[in-house]
Amino acid sequence: MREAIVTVASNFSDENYERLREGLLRRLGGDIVFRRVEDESVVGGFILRLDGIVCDMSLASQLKKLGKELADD
Amino acid sequence: MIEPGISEISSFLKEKVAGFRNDPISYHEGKVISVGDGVARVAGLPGCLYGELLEFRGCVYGMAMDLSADGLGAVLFDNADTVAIGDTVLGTGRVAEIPVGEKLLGRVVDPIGRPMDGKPLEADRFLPAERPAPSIIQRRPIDTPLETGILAIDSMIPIGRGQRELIIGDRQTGKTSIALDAIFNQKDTDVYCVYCAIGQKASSIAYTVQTLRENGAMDYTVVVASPASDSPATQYLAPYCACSIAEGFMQKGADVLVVYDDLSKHAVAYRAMSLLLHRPPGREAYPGDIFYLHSRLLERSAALKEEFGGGTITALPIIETAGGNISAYIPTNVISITDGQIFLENELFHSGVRPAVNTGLSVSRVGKASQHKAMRGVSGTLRIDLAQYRELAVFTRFGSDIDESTGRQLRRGECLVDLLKQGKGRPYSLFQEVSVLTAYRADVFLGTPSKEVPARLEKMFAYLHRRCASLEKIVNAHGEMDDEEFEELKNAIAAFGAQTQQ
Repeated sequence: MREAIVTVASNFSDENYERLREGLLRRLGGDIVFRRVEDESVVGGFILRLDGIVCDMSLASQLKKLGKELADD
Repeated sequence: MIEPGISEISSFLKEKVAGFRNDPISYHEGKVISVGDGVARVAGLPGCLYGELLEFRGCVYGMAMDLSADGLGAVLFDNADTVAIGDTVLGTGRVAEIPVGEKLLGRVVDPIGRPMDGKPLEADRFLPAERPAPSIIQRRPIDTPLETGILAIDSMIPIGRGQRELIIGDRQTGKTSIALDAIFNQKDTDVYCVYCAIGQKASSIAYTVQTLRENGAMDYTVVVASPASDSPATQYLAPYCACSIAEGFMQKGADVLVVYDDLSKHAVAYRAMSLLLHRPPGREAYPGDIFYLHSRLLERSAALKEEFGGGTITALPIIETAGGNISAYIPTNVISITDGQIFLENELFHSGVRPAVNTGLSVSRVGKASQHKAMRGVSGTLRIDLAQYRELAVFTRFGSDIDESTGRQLRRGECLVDLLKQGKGRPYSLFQEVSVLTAYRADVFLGTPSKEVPARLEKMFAYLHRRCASLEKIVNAHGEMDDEEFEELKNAIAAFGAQTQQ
């Protein structure tokens, strides 16, 4: 049994979380338990941690990336 | 430049934002399993490089040292107080780097490249701390002298640009002074200097920097400092960083002098780090790769061929011995790596012979090739003269009646020893060095009481400066003189001798 940690902001609705969980389960295959962690600094979106790999889809990090791309040009 | 209008900016931004792809940002993340004594075990982070910089929580940095299938061992550079079990660890994808270039001149930096003198540091070039040594193809023979301004060294143990010459001796025998004098003597030359302090007292480092600054040497010198309070990992990294800074200059074709002060403390720091990483201890508890630790550092000193940049790195590593024992583990290691050593002796130091160079045990394996022609001409028999004098002095210590020739040889020996004494921070120019040795050969100083020799020497320098100004310029600039010019010098010195005969 592998544990996946999903970090979301506190206003992330249960309905959306359930949809996200099902989507991830389908893509990553079964045998995974999900744990929901709330962190305001995520702002929107989610961060998934599984087996030492981090997949960051949070609004905060994406905005940071966009800011960096704009500054680099 | 034309200022862009608001519409241009907004269309540029729109275009950029429209082209933005919100792909997931994915990376590896490790977890701290255990932490203690400046070493952390980390699980996760597959694909981590050897020596990669790791970022711990709270901007604490570490270096991956022990890689294994089930995790890695990392040494921490900073205070490990904020690192806790379960913390996340991020790989930076970079190995330890140091800023290099001319902007570092006059600065004091730590081995991570952070300035320690309270001013901001803007660097445009970085080099990794660990770099491969130049290959055989890239090297050329050492043929240019590096003048230290110290007569005893320049005449008998000449150092060439690209050479590694070890300075070895007990504590308080003037090891650092010799290295600093060598740095001071590079003033108004094209040689850059890097002084690397490893595991020294912060007060000693502050004093050294002060001395460098007072002598105007900071204009062409970089100081890399890792005081005794730094973690073993930081101290371990220091000389490699200093060498990378030197290589930054060498790549641009410059000649560089690097002083590692000192490598015994570096070995001790590496031993601490290795033991904490649970590497098996060997002799004196040093790890198995202690030889490689210093050989890979000193091999990076080189004289490069013209087509590879043509620069040189001359290294003056320093080793501290205990009780004058140069056959201990670390001293023998470094002696065998370097191209010669300057051995300083406690006994000589306290009997007033300063610099306290033991000429019998000191050697330069590059030899006469790295000596100016003018110096080569007058320094030929010096070592033998001194050796014979020392032998005679021992034999005749208790004898009262000495024949005339033996007595003369003894007096000449004493005179030579007096002439080789030299004050701290008083480097001689090449012309001055040559004139002292010419005066010795002409017995001008024979019979001058020891105490009066320095004052009389200064008088001679002033006299020669007045009388042979053009010759002085020629010798200092070209390093050689023809027979006629040598004759002129001899005559001037003889005239000085006759004029000031007591």
